[in-house]
Amino acid sequence: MKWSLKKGKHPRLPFGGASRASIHPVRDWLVGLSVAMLVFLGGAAAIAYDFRIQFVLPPEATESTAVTMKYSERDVRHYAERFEARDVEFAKLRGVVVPRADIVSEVPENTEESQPLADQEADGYTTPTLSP
Amino acid sequence: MLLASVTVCVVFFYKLETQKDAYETMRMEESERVARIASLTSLLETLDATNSERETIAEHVLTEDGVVDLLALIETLGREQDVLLSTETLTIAPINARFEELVATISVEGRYESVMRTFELLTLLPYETRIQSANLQQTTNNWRGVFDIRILKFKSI
Repeated sequence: MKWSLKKGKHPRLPFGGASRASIHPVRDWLVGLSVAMLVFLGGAAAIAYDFRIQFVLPPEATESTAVTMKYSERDVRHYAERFEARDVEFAKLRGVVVPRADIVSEVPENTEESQPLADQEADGYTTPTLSP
Repeated sequence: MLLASVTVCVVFFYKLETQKDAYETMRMEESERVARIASLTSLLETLDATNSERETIAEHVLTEDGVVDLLALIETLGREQDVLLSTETLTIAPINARFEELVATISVEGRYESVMRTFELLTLLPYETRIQSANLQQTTNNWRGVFDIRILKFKSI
């Protein structure tokens, strides 16, 4: 089947189609290409949309990751603060010189030597040094 | 021509459809990759944000070189509190590939308040420590305490 650009020489379409005498063959090509492009673009858009859905993480997954990281960060800060506070406490306690009077009052009352010393303090006496 | 173009497109998308499983696998891998990158990015941000805090924590984990300093510190504490302090045993308890614990049995002898204050200082050592056991008993003239302390330590490589 040979195509011709001459007017009135257009062949009939196969499968018993109607005469295409009124349609220019170049326009026929353009219409075919346009439809093909539309189909192709439509399919490509559908696939791209499908891919987009697949690639976007569910919001809960993203939030979960962020929350996990946040907890981790919070833990790190908590432990760092705890260590710093402990260091301060350690330095403070280490630097404290305990007065004898306080030492006496700290001795448990159920020990044998604590009672007489406590009595002395109650009477207003200066606490003598404890024998080791 | 129209029919041919449509046929080509239909064949093309039919081929795509038949390869859907392979594409699904690719999509899953891509999703996992994106999620992993997001996690790593978030982790890096967290690491940046907590840099000084992490350094503080790391300073409180004993190193191989720090063991001598630790023992010297403990002995110094004993002297400062006027107690007779001695390190009875020193062993290593493994935790994992990165960490282990230094288990020290320390005996302290002296006045009650000094022993207690030394014990308190031992619990506040500038390391990640925990007291495994503490035993306090009265001797003839003094008090004697035996403390098992576990100190977190970086594993020696």
